[in-house]
Amino acid sequence: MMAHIELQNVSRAFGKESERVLAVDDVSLAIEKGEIRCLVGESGCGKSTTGKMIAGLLPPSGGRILYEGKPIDRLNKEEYRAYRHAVQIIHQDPYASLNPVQTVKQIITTPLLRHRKVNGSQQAYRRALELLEIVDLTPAADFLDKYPHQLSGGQRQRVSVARALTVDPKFIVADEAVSMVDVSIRVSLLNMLMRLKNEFDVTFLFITHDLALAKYFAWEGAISVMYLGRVVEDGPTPRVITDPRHPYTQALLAAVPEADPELTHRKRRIALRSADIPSLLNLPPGCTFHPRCPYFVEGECDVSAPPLEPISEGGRVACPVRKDEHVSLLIPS
Amino acid sequence: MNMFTQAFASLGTTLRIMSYNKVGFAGFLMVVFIVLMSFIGPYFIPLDTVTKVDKIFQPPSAEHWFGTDHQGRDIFSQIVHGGKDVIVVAVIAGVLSTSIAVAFGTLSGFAGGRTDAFIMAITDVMLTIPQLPLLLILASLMKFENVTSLGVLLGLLNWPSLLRAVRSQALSLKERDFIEAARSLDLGTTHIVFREIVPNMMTYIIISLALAMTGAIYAQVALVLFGLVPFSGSNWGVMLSLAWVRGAIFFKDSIWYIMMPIAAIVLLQLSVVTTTRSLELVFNPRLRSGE
Amino acid sequence: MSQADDAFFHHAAAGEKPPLSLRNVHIMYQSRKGAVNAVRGVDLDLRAGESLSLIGESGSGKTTLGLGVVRLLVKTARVTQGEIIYRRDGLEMDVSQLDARRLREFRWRECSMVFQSALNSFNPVLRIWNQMYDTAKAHGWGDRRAVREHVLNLLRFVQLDAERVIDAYPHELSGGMRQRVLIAMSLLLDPQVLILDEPTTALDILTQRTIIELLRRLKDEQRLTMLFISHDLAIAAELADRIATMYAGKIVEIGSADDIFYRPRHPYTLGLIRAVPKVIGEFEDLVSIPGSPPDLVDLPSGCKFHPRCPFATDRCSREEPDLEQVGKDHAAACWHWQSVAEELADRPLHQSLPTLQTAQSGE
Repeated sequence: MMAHIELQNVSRAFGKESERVLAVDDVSLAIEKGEIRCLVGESGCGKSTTGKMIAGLLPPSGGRILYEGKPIDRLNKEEYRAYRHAVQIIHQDPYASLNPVQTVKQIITTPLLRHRKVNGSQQAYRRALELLEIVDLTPAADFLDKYPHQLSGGQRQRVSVARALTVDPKFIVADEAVSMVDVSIRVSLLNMLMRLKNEFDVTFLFITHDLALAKYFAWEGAISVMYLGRVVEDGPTPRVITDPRHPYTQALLAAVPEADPELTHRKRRIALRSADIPSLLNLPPGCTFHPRCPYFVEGECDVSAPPLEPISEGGRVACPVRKDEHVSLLIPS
Repeated sequence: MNMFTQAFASLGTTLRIMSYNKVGFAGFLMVVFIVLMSFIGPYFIPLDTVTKVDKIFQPPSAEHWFGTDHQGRDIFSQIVHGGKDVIVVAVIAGVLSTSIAVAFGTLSGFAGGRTDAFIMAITDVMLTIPQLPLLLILASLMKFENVTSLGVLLGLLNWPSLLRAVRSQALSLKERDFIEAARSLDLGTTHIVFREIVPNMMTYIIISLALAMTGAIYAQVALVLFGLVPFSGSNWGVMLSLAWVRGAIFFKDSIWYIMMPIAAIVLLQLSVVTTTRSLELVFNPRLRSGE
Repeated sequence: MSQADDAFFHHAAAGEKPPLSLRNVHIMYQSRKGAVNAVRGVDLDLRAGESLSLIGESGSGKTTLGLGVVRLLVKTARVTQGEIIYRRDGLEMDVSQLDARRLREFRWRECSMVFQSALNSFNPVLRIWNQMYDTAKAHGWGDRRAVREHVLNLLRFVQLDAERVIDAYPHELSGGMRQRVLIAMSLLLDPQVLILDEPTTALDILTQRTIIELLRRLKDEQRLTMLFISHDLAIAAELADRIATMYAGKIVEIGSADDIFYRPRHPYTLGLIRAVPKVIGEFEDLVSIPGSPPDLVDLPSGCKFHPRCPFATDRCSREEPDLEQVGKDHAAACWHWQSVAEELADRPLHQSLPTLQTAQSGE
């Protein structure tokens, strides 16, 4: 089955010749239509850059991106336009994602009118009301004349989503879309996004550093874990969360504090060999995680970058040493 | 609603918003007053051109509110007539240089690449040419028959530093999430530049406009003082120049002749600058309170 | 840590009077929209040697309260009512009444603070040593050699390469390292009380874990009295002995960590716990709290949480409840706390650990 979006050996470099940094390094993954995929990792792992490349906002430096089977740099003008409309991005910062000098009405009707999704301003107004209702901003009419600074963070994010919906997207990249919103509001935003997915059959790429949110949102989907620009593990969410195989994934899951005292105190603490995070300018040879990895094997891990290999339980792991070893994340009683 | 009622409605709203800042609104009213005085006043208050030798350098009195000049002519009427030229030059120069700076600075910053390089090259060349000497040379070479041409010249010389500043603002705004969202929504470069970026720079733009105008006023007065601009008739700059030449600062009574044009110029500058505080409220909704 | 090191830190003996007591504290500040009642009557005892976590979301007043204790509020904010009592060795003083000189002695020597925006609060042109020494000197300790010795020890305590870090500039250190330096700096003058505002926000997961472990060591080994301010329940679960949840400027529930997580009695606390997902274990449905945080300029009548509360009745919209005893050393400000208890009896919050164990071992 043709993937909705596929990345083949995609890389993205930044900086001048002497100071090149590979924010994304040889990433290959495929996201199916209607799938919920999470891209998780810590800061600097390249997940945001990958998201922007998928949305067409940044060109890859290497490799290619396929939209519905066709490389995006080979699309003709019509097809390219359709692709750019079909893939929309929701940003992290509710305070920066809306134009501060425009009202909600202007923000939503501008793309509607520009792309002739409606005929005239009356229809645009009505459609704007509809979209605000879809994102649970009710009573919708009250919100149209407001400026962004008059709305709360959660409300602003909803306006961002409504804006993205104006062009009838088929694929939404949510880049840390709930990270800067209050905890009590996050769930309702996620549930709203979930509803969108089900009602309009939208494919989701959910980028986050919060593993617990990734687990909740993408339980029926898949997770890809990134470290320093590479994918180190991916697979169906239940498998990755309950049976992680890559030492980095295990370290991450073990390190997350849980909102439950008993549970959090019973978690295995995985000690890493070094607390230093390598700089992207000076990556370790071989597997980039090896200086910190508790299972480091000299002569193997520091020589060549391990490829992603499939495992029978589902998904792929980039660690020949540990990919078949199951580790319990709780200390046995 | 038809076009006119709509325009009046938003004018009313705009004025209301401006009134939230008391100082700014006072400045705005003063600007309006000075403009009305300079453009409509002359129809009501005739210029005193009669030389009255017995009334040289009289201090202010009931008959001559601001006193008389070195030829016994009423200063007040000269002030009323003298603002027009100054304002016309200021407005032409200010609007012209700000428009060039905004249009090309934003384009340069947002488009990047070769467009940016080209525009910056021209700007840098202009910046390296010393302004005042150039102005003086041009003034002596060209004949400025009227204020319009002076305004245009000043406008064409003033934009480089402003353009650089506008460009750097555009560069930083370009990276903002809402601009990326606009790109994602395929809203088009022209739209993004003029409807997304520029409106966010309005505070900066109006202040630049105010400063461009005040700069033009000073440049104009300086040119007149240097005698490089053959303006005749009443014009605050000319008044200042004549007063200086006639030694008006030396006598207690004659000092009014030199002080009045200075006061008028300063008052105009001050009002223009304080008006920007009110205009800020109009363009930046976040600064408004109590809505 | 050697015997000599033990002398660094204040040891809390059991049965001591609480080092910090807040009585009916009200903090108000002026905003363009009007007077904001950020803190509306907080009573709190920070007990010797305990770590208490103040949990709340935006607008709860938790950061304002933290800043108020060390009197670092912005000029437009004031403590309008109440007392902030600090005690040591039998002496008592009201922090809100201290003059400038005594206040400087209070800050850092008695009570120090690690801020939320701390990672950016370094002076970029000063080396770490200079910032440490300046701080020590500003609070009365000018002996260069002694201070340097102490700083090196503290940097070692927070598990940094002391010799390298002491002469480094802030930008040469990673975010996690800077946070450690700030924690070391806060311990510089051996305070009795440490206030931390969002100590791990903005840090990556693995770095966050190292800071949590460091704070745990401070708590377990040194028995430092700590007040953590955070929106993150998980941090509270890791480090807190007692937890107080704040909403709209008041404490709505306070109790031991176990009480709060397993036997919450305030609907807001319950709502928060149900809204936070856990990584380990099976999939759990989450429930969000409807509505938005209240507008502090225009608060609802009665109980400030009532517009969002599933247990709310008429009474809730008229009368604001005070904290009342709901268990041993556990209080909640809710007219219907018993309904919350009944609800939990029907639908308990957490999975039992044995089921998790089997899930984890892949059977």
